[in-house]
Amino acid sequence: MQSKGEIAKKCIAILIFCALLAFVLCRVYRVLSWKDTTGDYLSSTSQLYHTPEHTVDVVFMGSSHCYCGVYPAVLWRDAGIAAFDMSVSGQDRASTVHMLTETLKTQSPKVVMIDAYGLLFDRNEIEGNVYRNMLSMKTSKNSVELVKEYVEKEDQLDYLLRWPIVHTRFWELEKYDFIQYEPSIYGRGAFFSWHESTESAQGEWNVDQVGELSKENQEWLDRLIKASKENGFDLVFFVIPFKITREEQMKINAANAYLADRGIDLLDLNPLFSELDLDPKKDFMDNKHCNANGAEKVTHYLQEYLRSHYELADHRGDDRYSHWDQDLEWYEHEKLKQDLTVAEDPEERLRLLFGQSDLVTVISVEGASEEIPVLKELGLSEAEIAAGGKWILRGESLTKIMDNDPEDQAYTEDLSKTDALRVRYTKERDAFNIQFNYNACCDPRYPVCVVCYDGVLKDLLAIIHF
Amino acid sequence: MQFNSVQFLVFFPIVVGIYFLIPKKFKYLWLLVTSYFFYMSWNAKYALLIAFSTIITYLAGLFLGKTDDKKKKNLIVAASFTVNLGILAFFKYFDFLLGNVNGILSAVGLKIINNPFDVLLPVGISFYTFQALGYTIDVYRKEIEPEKNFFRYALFVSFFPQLVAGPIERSKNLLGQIDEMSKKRLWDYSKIVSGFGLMLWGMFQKVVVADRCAVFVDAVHANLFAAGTVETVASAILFSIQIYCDFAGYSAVAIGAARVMGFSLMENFNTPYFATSIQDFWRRWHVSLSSWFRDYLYIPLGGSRCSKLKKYRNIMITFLASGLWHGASWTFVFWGGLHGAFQIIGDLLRPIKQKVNDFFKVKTETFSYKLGQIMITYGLTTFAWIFFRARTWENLILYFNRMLTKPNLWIVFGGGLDYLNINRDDVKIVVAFLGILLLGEIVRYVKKVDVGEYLWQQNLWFRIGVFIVLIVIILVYGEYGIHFDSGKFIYFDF
Repeated sequence: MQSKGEIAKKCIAILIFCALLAFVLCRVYRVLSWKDTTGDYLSSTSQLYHTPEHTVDVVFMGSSHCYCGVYPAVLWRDAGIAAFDMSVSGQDRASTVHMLTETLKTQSPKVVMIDAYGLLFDRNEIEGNVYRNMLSMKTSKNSVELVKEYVEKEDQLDYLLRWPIVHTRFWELEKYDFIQYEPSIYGRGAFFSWHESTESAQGEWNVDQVGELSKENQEWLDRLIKASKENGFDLVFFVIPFKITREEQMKINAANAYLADRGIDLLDLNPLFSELDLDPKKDFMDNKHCNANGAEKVTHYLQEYLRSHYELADHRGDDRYSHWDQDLEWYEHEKLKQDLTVAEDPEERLRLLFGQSDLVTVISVEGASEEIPVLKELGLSEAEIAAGGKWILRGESLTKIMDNDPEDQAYTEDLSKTDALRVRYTKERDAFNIQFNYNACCDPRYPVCVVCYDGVLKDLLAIIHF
Repeated sequence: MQFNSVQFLVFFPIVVGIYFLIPKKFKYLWLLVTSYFFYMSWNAKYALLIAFSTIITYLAGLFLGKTDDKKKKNLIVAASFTVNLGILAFFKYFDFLLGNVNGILSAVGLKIINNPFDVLLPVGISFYTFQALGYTIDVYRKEIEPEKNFFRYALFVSFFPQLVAGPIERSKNLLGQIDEMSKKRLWDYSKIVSGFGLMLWGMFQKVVVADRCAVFVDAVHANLFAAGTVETVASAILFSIQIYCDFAGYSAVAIGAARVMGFSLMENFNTPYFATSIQDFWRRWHVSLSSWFRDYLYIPLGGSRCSKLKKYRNIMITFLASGLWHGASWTFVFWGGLHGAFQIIGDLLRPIKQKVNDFFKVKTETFSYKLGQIMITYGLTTFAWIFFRARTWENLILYFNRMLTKPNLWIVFGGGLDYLNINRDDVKIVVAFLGILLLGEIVRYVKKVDVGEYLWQQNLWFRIGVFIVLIVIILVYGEYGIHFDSGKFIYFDF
């Protein structure tokens, strides 16, 4: 027989093992857990979980049409409306219902606006979209029900356990898998892009015929109507402009008729290209998705609708809504990045950086023989430009950090938790005289090198040479 | 329900938990019920076959115990063998036999016979049939008393850890332990820990090493038309590792699972690729099967205590039978025959080898000599595995054609393997895990204990650390999940 002490020791050993194993597996899972590896956009659920409870007044739900076409940042900027895109690529009927349930756990929106594009496709066949919809929610009764409704039976266990799917991510792990960014950095669920389409997004919207409302679509609408009554929010459907086909428009018409009978609005924006001043190419990133220019116009229309139908509070200035402030800031920095991309003249690009907050701009001048007006505008004298040196511009303030002297100590700065900058002078126009992380930033052909780091986007905003 | 399935992850702790909680006298019944549940998870109908085989061999044992009449005993053994081997032959070899008959018929211009049956090979049938027949012979030889309790005997035939892929247990060992269950203490902390460690090691071998090697091997076999010397040689080496880790991994999980419950199963693998001769290889590879053939076929045939010619005949019969046991295909038979031939040639060349060693004053006790022996043996077994993996003569011929006529060493240095969808990172990770595997093999070879026991002998912190690392490696780097479908153990097909 073993003594009580021996048994206790063994029990402690088992407990230590279980605790350590649980800790290690949790940490490993956190790294491996599914994230959108296309990089720019996370599923909205992670943003939702980091949003203070009961702050969202308007929820937009839908697939990529929704997060490309509706910008909560614009609603916030113009009207102080606290809106949120609870939207995921390929969000189908089942996902919409369960994402709504998930949203209502912590939020009590006054209006829920749902993209009727969900009426036009069945289960999503794009694998990444299945993952986005199935793996992004926290595990709960709701997420289990979604998997059971969405995923084929033989695959359900893998989706419920998640590990059998996500463990294969070990090859694609990136920095953000280990260092979790602040949740607000990806905004309120919207995706910002200024890419312009080569194809027209105008489709066959001019169809009056009403198609048949399928059983699945009717059930979906009924489920959402029931949810709105049970949870006390107003339900509105909308269609973001895209290249719609005749058959699709007939389905939308059918849903519109069904909803009208029940006193629910469906805002079909496809027929409103002229009214919204939408350019079928310039305001779209492809023939299905708005770009930022289009999103501004679409969002403005929706804002007017909301203003005319609801009394929504202006939350600007309220500390609980800092996520919306940060979202707007992010959007504006993205716009600046776009402006820098579009601007062709290097000096003009540098001027765009003047006075901007949250930017760290290093200016290196080495062997400049000509007059450079933009440097004079910054306050540098001709003598200083001729002598050369390294300066840092933060907002309006320009500070010299070193001369072009190999004896001078290199200037280093941690720009963020993961990004570092080194400025030095080893020899004239050396590519590594400005180094961002492991990358040389200078082009030895030019006397002036400008490297700008964006503290909001946490990335290099621009490298300018002239 | 495979060992590398979520179902087993749930099944095993529940079985073990209840097993330790219920009174001793019910434990064997609990294990019997759960063993049948385990087996029926593949196909409930299979349970009828195993039950039938159990009844036949149980009754044979009882009748054998009641008579000393040699003729009657022979008749009983013959009946038991006929019925059991008949079932095995029908399910496993019918298609093969029919294919051969049809081959002959079509060669002489006669109409071929259509297959009237469409049967699936029941999982593990070769294993439990041999185990049950081993019992019949043991009772016949009076090496054990016939088991009176039907349910205990049924557990012996169907004990779930080793039911579907061995080790093929001997009645003296396992049946004895089942009989002793009510008398001895089954809860043993050291056995639970070492058994758990061995299960983890087995899962590592299977899910991480074997299945990662399988990705490469399968890719080469699927693209043989494009393959060259490098891919085919690499594939042969990796298949030797795959089949070893696949089967040894399963055995380790089986032995570990049984150990957790207080049972000691026979060793099935003992560092076979460290063997110094083919004979030595078969003392280390699938020990439970090779010893079965030795005890119940080779020795009854006369073994080695006869003329050289008869000895060679006995060797060939044993290895051809072993080949056929592995699969209903001539390539398996050829593989078995090749191993028999290696042994015979080795025996014939022994005097010459001795003379050469004497002439060149070769030091046979040195590490280098032993290493040479190990490498030659490994080379021969790996060569033989090519026949094992090819499955058809067409594949085999194409494989050797690619190996011998398309030298392409340069692809090692470029992106030449891209067509196989294998990147360099995959190769690196396989190499890293082969390093861990080698470490485990060295432990087994030097310390003469399995990895589970070795870990039990270490300090707690080290053991916990290794357990956690193994679990993480299995969960992260294992080949399983939604896009993976090769989780089946190779030996389930035999």
